[in-house]
Amino acid sequence: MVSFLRGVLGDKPELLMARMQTMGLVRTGRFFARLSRNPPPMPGKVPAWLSETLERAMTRVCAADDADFPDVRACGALDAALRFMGGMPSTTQEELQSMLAILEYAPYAFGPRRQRLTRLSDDEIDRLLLTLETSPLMPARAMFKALKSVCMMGYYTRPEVWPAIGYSLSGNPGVPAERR
Amino acid sequence: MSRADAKRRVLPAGMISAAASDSALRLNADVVVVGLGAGGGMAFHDLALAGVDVIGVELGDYFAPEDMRCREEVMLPKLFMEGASRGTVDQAITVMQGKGVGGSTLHNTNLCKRLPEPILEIWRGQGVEDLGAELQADFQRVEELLDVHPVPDDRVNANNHALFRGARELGYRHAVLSHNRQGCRQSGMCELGCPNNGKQNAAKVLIPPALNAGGRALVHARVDRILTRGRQVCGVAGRAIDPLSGAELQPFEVRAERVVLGASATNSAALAIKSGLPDPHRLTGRRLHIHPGAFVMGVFDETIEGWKGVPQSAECTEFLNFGHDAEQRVWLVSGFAHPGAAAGLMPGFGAAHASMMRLYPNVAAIIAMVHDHYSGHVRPRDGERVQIHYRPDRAELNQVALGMREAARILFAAGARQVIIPTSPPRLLDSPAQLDGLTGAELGPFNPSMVAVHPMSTMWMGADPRSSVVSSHGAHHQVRGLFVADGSLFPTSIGGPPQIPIYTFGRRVARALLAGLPAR
Ligand SMILES: Cc1cc2nc3c(=O)[nH]c(=O)nc-3n(C[C@H](O)[C@H](O)[C@H](O)COP(=O)(O)OP(=O)(O)OC[C@H]3O[C@@H](n4cnc5c(N)ncnc54)[C@H](O)[C@@H]3O)c2cc1C
Ligand code: SF4
Repeated sequence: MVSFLRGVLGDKPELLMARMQTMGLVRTGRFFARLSRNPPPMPGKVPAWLSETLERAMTRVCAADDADFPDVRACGALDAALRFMGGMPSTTQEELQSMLAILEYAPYAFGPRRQRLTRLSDDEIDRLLLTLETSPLMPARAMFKALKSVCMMGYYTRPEVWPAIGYSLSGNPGVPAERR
Repeated sequence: MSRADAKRRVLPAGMISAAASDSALRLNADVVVVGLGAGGGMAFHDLALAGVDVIGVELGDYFAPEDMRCREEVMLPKLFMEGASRGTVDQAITVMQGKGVGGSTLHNTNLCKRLPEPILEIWRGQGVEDLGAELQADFQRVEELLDVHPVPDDRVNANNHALFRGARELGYRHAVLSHNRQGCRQSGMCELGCPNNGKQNAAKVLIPPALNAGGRALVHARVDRILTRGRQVCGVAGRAIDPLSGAELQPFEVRAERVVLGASATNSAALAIKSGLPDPHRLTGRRLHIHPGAFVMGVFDETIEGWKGVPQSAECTEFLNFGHDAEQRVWLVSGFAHPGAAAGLMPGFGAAHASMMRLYPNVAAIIAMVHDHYSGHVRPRDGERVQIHYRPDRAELNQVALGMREAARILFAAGARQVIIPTSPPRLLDSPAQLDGLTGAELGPFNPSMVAVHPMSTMWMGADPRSSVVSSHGAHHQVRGLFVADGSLFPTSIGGPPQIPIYTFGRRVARALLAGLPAR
């Protein structure tokens, strides 16, 4: 697997992106699923390996600066993000899941180390995310933007997170209690 | 949602769910309106009240006031097209549009403005007729119907006060905006659907009287094709959609000799193209304008809590000029977002981003929205999805830069100690002196991150079938019996909130359609 990816992608993110563009996002996602002997993207139900990728990425995208922010894994952020994705059209869901499949293998092309994302250290994932966010390649930026929006929607909509950012619904007299 | 669940859903009298039907639905009417948002909702209302046998077909759900929850993760996927994931094809610009009975007026922020005279003058120059006194009278009647009035002073929240303070300090032209609210309890939840039924929107003001007058509405029904017989329209066909899972269910068809498109500037054009309607000059879907906007945030020492109260009531028009040679074309208006969306707008990620999110209660924001001269185009995709091709050119990016600079200047003048500009990498500025370096030359896709909420044009009005898609009253130039009544109609971008103009043109189109109906 590793040597195969090295052969296909080399060290060049452009090759991964070119592959995505010629094959299409969904076929690239399915290709990575087949290669890693994992179930392919499935609208309506995210396969476990892809939710692991999302959760791991989320721990870094929504990393805390201090202890009063709850841990991503402790506040139901993953479930909220998955539900948010589940409200999108099935073709968009398949594309987002494909994006997660590509993200899982993105370190082979974007660095910092040839390894799956879920096996990278915190610091390594941060470096990968920064590379994607600032990449001159538009599909890499698009991938970062989609990931960030799903993660933020999952994490910052959790009421457990709100005290750390000073937000609350109970302090808002215009919000009826039964609608919170 | 199972079919049995769909059947148990309580809908207002006159409204049925296509998802609840056991078999393919076939209905007949004199007129079918596709989409019940601002334009389609007004056409549906006026036709039903005139006694026409009209069916409104709506892709989205029906929301009773008590269905509105003050939670982003619950409401955004329900109220927005593509589950709030819509964007330009390169994903660089997020495009927000509504779905459901009421369309984008369910979640919009209720700003109301008429079309400015210079825009009408440009449209006249492009061959659009009847833009004089009768149009102004229509504006007035629409404003009365929707209870449009200036936002009262005591309802201007701290976020909007910041814009006023800064603009006043700098001597920039600014004003309090008008809105269409009654019974508003200042929850600040407008973009999630009002929990207090305080919006005088299409769902509240137009649809109930239309149903009472005998209009019928078919919800959970996505139109996929406009049916024609030669050059005459003869109905629409599509699929029932499960409102919970989005799954495609059984087909439906509504036969009618008149069809009104009110599916928005993106979806109406995509539908027309998908249906293979004659388009000899290949115009449909082009000229797409979206008012791309960037959020500039100011951090204040005092608490702002911009998520509370009427979200938008202040504008600065100092840099908003109209006309082909206008050098400054940005509309500055206050803006805010709830935590999930706000976190997406705040630059970066990780611990540094979390630290910025701590500033959330102290942030005031201004959206720099470009009155775009550049235009993109829209094409169909699968289901409700559309391809939005729009990548601002240098001239537009210069406007984005101008807007961000001036929004920042206003925030500093209002007392912000820091301003966050969402470029890549983000600029965290301590003084306005650092603003001059910000030019359009450094901007591009994803830089800054942008949002658009006003798609327009794509099936624009005009007298000449070689250079416009529909007549000045919305009748399609190529297909008899087909009308357009939504934001697609506008020949140019308008540089302000589009709902009042769209409602008003929806009325005008309904009137033209009525005039052509055989006497009953
Ligand atoms: C966050 C936000 C805030 C806004 N704030 C303001 C504001 O303050 N003031 C203002 O003037 N404007 C505002 N707008 C914009 C304004 O609401 C829209 O421009 C306006 O509602 C568009 O009217 P429309 O008739 O073109 O389409 P819409 O109101 O979007 O209605 C289109 C309808 O068609 C339905 N539809 C689409 N495709 C199909 C299909 N194939 N079959 C059946 N139905 C279909 C959709 O579900 C939808 O209900 C805002 C928009 C957003 C997103
Ligand atoms: S601010 Fe007013 S109109 Fe907007 S959601 Fe709250 S109560 Fe409704």
